[in-house]
Amino acid sequence: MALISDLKISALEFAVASSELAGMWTAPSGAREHFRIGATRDLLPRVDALRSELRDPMAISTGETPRLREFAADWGSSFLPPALATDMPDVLVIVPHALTHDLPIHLIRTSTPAVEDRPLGVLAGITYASSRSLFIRTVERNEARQRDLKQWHYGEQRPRPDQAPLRSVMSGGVDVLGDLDSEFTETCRLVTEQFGGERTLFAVGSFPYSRTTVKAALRRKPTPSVLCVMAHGWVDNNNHRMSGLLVERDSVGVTKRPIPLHGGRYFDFRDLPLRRPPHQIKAIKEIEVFTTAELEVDAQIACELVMLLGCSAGWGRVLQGDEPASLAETWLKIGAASVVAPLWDAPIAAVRAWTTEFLHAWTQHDMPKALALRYAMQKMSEGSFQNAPERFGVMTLRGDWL
Amino acid sequence: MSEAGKSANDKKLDWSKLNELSDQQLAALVESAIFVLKQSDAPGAPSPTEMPAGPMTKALEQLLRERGADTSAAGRVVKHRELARPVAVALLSAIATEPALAQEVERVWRERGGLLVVGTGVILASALLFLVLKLKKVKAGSVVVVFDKLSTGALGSVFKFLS
Repeated sequence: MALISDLKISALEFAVASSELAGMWTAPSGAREHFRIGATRDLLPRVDALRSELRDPMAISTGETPRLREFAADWGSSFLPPALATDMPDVLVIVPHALTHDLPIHLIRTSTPAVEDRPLGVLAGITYASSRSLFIRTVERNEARQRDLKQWHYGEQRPRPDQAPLRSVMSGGVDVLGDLDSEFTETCRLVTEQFGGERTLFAVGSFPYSRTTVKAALRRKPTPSVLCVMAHGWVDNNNHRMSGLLVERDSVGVTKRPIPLHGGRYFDFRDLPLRRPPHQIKAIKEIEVFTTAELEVDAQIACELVMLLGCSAGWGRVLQGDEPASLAETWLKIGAASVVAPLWDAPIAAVRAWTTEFLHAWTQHDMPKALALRYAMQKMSEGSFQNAPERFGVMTLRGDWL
Repeated sequence: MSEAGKSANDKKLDWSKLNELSDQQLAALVESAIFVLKQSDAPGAPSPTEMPAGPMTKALEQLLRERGADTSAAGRVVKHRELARPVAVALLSAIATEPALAQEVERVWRERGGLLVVGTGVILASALLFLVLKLKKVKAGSVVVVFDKLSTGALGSVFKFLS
């Protein structure tokens, strides 16, 4: 058993300028070191080609990912500071910038004096934070930080019942396309099982999975500590805030909610979706889009962890002000302490295997989330997903690592 | 959902019931066929899935001319969306006559079926036609399929819709 307070924490920040990319490494001791990554004009086309490959469903599903493998084994190593190999931390907080957002740094292969040639994510627990300020906000709101870190042991043994955190879970989802319906249901059930049925606040199958029911569940008290959302994501390339989750349309019609006004009066607010469903989607049910704009204006959460198990939920364009626009980022903005989400279109088998290992480490071994992620990646990269970085490296953690 | 495409992950694809597939499923099958055929294309050759309509029409006209076929069909296949589905089914049915190739396409389609992805449902029939006409030989696993005869047959079935 190890103590949380003994963990070695470090940070890696990137800065992109017109001429070159640079990094700043903050060692566990607090010492800082700047290093040059490379010329922007050389790296930009490579990053662009890598992004294209990771956005190609055929490349991911067939495992034909030569650019990802080249990045991991070759040119990606320039993104890591030389000191990392000799001073490998337990937890690494990565703060990307501009074109480095969404780069799978955790898949870069590296060595330490003890082990040779492993993906970074197998050696250290990694979390991504799109900015320093967002990282600090997620740390401040994380209920896990209320625990006594000097008494928090993690490892192979289960935590003592009086020390184990009592977490409630809200898990649900819907496959509006219908091809993976049973897999969605099974994965949601698997998540709730890890926490014990009595702590399940909202399980799949209880209600239609619609905008209204999800928002109503989020408003309930006590709020869930863990929120698992399994739904297809839709990315609107022209207007990010109209991107969102594909959910069922409410069978009861449009819901009205009273909004308190000045003088004790109320206004009945008709809870309409903010956009029409995309015409390209041929769903088996009546659908609506639960947009990121709607999440931002009409939902607040206080979850310790949000698990987004949908298509490319962690991927998005970088907007003005270096704001990465992804569904995962939206959940961090509305109150989550940490979010796990796939960085590209994930194979369902990989998501389920990852979910099992991650939740086992987090709930049964009481590991911090970043170390549970490292545990899951270790297990997957040594097991049936060996030699498939597009599968064992698809899930990433954002926000607080604890 | 149609029986032919039910549980794409675990059910065998019935090549004789391609018409029963939804647009999304057929689009995924066409993408899978394109992926397999592209492996036999020259390295660095432009991807037909990324070709704009104009260059694609010209490229198809050239390939049809080489075979002495009516070149006006190229423009119709590229521009008329309602033709995408029957043309794709005709091409895939021709591919199904080569068991090794069909097996490889089905394997790729099944793997793609397990992906958490929302397809656009756009059936890339003209891109598939381009590759079918262009390639002389196609490697399917360890088997090399001589594609000339197959593509002549495919062309015949496509022209049934266009004439």
